[in-house]
Amino acid sequence: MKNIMKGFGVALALVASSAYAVPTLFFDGEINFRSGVLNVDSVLTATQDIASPELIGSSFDFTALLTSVDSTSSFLTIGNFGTTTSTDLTVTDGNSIELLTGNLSSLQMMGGNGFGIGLVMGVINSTGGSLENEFGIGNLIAFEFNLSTTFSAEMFDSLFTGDIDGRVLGEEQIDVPEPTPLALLALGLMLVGFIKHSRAS
Amino acid sequence: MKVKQHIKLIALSAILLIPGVSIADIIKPALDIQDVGGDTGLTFTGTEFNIDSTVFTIVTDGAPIDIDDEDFILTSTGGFGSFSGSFIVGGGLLTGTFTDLTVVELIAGSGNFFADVIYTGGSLQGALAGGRIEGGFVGTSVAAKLGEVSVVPVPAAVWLFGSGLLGLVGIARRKA
Repeated sequence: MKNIMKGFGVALALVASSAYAVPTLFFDGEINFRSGVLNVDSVLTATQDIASPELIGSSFDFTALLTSVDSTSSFLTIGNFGTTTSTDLTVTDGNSIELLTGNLSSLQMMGGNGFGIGLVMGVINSTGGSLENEFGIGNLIAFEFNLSTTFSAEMFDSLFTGDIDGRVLGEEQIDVPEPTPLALLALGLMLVGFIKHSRAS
Repeated sequence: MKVKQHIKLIALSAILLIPGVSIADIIKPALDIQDVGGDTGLTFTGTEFNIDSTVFTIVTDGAPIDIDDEDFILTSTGGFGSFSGSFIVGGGLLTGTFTDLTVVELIAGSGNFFADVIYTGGSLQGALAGGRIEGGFVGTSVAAKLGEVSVVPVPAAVWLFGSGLLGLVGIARRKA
């Protein structure tokens, strides 16, 4: 019986399943584009899989420089953005604690020509903040709407404003051990059987 | 003289009858919809457009209002430019329907969508008088806003300019 229990313990350790958590910062705010510079001024609206920061009074801001415009498609316009000379992204909570700083790369703003709605996607290379390790190289995904202009090859020639809503996801997933219900149930049943067997003998 | 009056009348009618291009905006308060852990996210097959996501914030002109995480389920059938269906926000917050939901696929599996919606029930129905949903998706990841509608009329500049010219011509002729 002891050997069975040992074997089961080893099996339990080997088959222990795990859940994956993705640290995420959700943000919501405004964008403005002026003279080749994209500014996002927003606040944190929620978080996931991190210790909850103070959201009220928080800020999620980033800046990027327009490097090129791809309008080779008659249907689609893509603005390619690069990093600035200073820190691109700064996230602070409501207590002014610096949660995340980083620089942007491969940032693109794209939308269908004629529409005042589009997508923003890019990579955030974390450089500091209390959440630096959780985010590492993060992915930014957002959609922009209520734009004061519509997508076209000429849209980046002048100022425009709008709203943005999105998130930054940490690339590295955190392994969270999770009890394996079936294995635990089986273990419990075996213990009950073992107790009954002991009492009978 | 009668001809001039007729021209002016026609010009005035044109201004009143042709409102110009309208732009629909998402107006706050709006619900923030994003998929979080456990959500299926967005499913888009070209003939089906479904969202299994979460509502966790009401975005206002001031600070966002945090609410309990509630399921957001949108189901629709149809095809590009003509999806129709219904949606429900858990916790009895909101139900509604929509037609003509448009999907703009920008690159493979990524794009935007938008539609006017009609609220049919829920505790937020009264607070959200109009209705519009707009969002973006990258694969199954989705972020969207569900809020009021503001139809902002853009001045029909051409017609205003034309009527102004007619007026100037009329004044000039009278003086002559």
